[in-house]
Amino acid sequence: MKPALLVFLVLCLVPGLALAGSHGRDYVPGRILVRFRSGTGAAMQQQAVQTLGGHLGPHIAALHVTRVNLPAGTSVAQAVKAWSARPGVAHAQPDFIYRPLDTTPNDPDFGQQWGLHNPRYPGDDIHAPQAWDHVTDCSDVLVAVVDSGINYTQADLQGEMWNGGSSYPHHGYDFVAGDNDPQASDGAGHGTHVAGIIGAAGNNGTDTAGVCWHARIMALRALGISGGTTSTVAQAVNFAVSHGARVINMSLGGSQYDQVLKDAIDNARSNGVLVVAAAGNDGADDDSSPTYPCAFGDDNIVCVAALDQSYGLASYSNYGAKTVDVGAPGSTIVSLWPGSPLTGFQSWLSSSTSQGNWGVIANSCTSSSQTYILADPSGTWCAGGTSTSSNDYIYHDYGFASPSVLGIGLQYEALYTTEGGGTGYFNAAYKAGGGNPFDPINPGTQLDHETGSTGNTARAFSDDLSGCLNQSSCTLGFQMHTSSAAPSHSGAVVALEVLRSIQDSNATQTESGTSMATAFVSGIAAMLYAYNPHFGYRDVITAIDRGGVADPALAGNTVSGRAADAMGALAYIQAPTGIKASVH
Amino acid sequence: MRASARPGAGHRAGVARRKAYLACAVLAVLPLVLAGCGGSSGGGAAKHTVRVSWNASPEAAVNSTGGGYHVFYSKNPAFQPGDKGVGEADVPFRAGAGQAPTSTTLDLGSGTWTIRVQAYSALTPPGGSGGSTSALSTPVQVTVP
Repeated sequence: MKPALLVFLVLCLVPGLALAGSHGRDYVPGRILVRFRSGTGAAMQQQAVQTLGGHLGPHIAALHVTRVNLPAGTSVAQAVKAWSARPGVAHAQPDFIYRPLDTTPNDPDFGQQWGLHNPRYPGDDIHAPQAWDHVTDCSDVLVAVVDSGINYTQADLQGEMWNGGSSYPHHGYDFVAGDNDPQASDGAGHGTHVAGIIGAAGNNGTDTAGVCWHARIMALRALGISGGTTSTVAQAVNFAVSHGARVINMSLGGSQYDQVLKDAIDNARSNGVLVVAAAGNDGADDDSSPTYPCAFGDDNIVCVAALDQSYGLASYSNYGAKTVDVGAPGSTIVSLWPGSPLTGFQSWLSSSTSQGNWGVIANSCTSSSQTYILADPSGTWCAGGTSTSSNDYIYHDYGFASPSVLGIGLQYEALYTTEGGGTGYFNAAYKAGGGNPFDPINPGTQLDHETGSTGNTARAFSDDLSGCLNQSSCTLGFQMHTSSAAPSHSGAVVALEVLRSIQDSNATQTESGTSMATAFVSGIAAMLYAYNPHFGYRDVITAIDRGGVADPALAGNTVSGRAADAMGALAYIQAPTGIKASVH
Repeated sequence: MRASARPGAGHRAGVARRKAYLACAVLAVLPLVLAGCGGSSGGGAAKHTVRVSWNASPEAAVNSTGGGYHVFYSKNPAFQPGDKGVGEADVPFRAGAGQAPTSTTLDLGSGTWTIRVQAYSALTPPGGSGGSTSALSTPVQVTVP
């Protein structure tokens, strides 16, 4: 009987074992564990080895077993059978493999992080707990976040930042301000949110868990609170490349082809750096209305669309059968925030600085969720009244003397109709040190200056208030200014948030967008690099694209038709290459 | 290392393999059928050693416990691994090695053989079970005199 046939016959007689071991996945191939009966001496053990082949490995005294290394080509099933039948052997078995099962972190907000694990729609997530069975630490992989700055003191990030040495002691660079502190000095939370998705410290009992529980994040501030420019964004990309980043997260986009930024992306490609970019939030087809850098077409770019909680394409998400690679969780994403904002107008109620017709009124006539709004004229604004006062303004004093305040910004929504003929305007301003920001002799710093009418649709504004940092008194105000003696105008501020970046913040926030989806993919990319030290960016992109989970909502809307998946990407294997066969 | 030729049972799904083994166990009492179930490397003709090699997979899971490669071979150039008569050599990662082996030898009889390699690992993708496998490599052919 041929040897191969003998092997086959043994396998046929123990089908269960043959099944379990068919690919060596449930036990260690090439060895078994043997427990000899007491009194079985070394000579008898060696005799068994000489008869059956292989050699004795280490004896594990605590378990009363000896490891037997099998000769090449011997199956574990065959060996267990043969060794079990030997005199002096009490027991033989495979060396089974045990693995952790679905690692779950203890972070208090983990239950809200549906993108990692979705209890409401099981499976509509990146299968993070399964992936965490295999890798949670991505700290060998430097991920650059080109964004609005990061509150690197956030409790869940302060241990996950890049060590830039003495040249970059604040973990990155600020290309907006031109200094080495990429703190979110304008209070903008976007970059902190994105960074948290990628690498918030996991299983530390604080806030959220990142896709990576341990990360190395480089903070590159390229966006002010109102956006960035070619120079800030392209410089940030080049900085990331020259300082060792392997992944660049670009949760940003523009509609114009930009050769300078393209050159920076090309430079990243030449240096083997992966760029993960957002598809955009216009609900548009990127194939016909490109968003850059997604649309540059470099093969080191992964372009990401956003999915909602049931893995539908988010209504705001851009898509593109030729230009958008994958989808990822993007809607109602809970992640880190630089600090809790000061919201609304309650504090303005006690203000004694109201001037002219402005006033704080109960919000009974707008769709804003604010309890109070600022209105001019306060008495009749809701009824459509107009002011005939020539120079109305209101301001309120905020104090930001605390050294724990690291950044300040402003977001508000306003409705206004200025004096006809373009001679009147709506103004927003602040004054460091306090006092009237609209004082004609000693004015404050103007933030916004608008003419015309918003109609009934509130307009949103974002402003940098970092000039108020370390000021015990800093006034913020709004003005309706006219040039005529008897004008007709009206205005209202219907929502207001004073953004703050706070030392050691443990704030979180829910945000939606392809920016968030992009960060999930960057986290998966970091995970892949961490687990597979020999991967290049093409390997990472292949694993993300082909290891994703097929999603009908993405079929025809993306290149892959798949949702990026951490476990799927880890498990994905490329077909072997370079096959050669020769007769000897 | 030298791998043993194994019968052409289903290689992907464990259930398929179980059925194949059960079927073969029943058939094992019939020598004529048994020969047909297991013989896949060239019958009684003189055999030659064929060395098969491939590039190392970049995936760490292939090069760690539970990972490795399958080498499939058949005289049918359009074979699929589950087809009757397809031989398989398992080339697993072995503890202590830096990576899974990237070559093996087969004892094949005369004729033209088609060989394809598949990588596998213990990592299971969502919705899967029992690990994962790659697509089959591009086939190569070798003629044994």
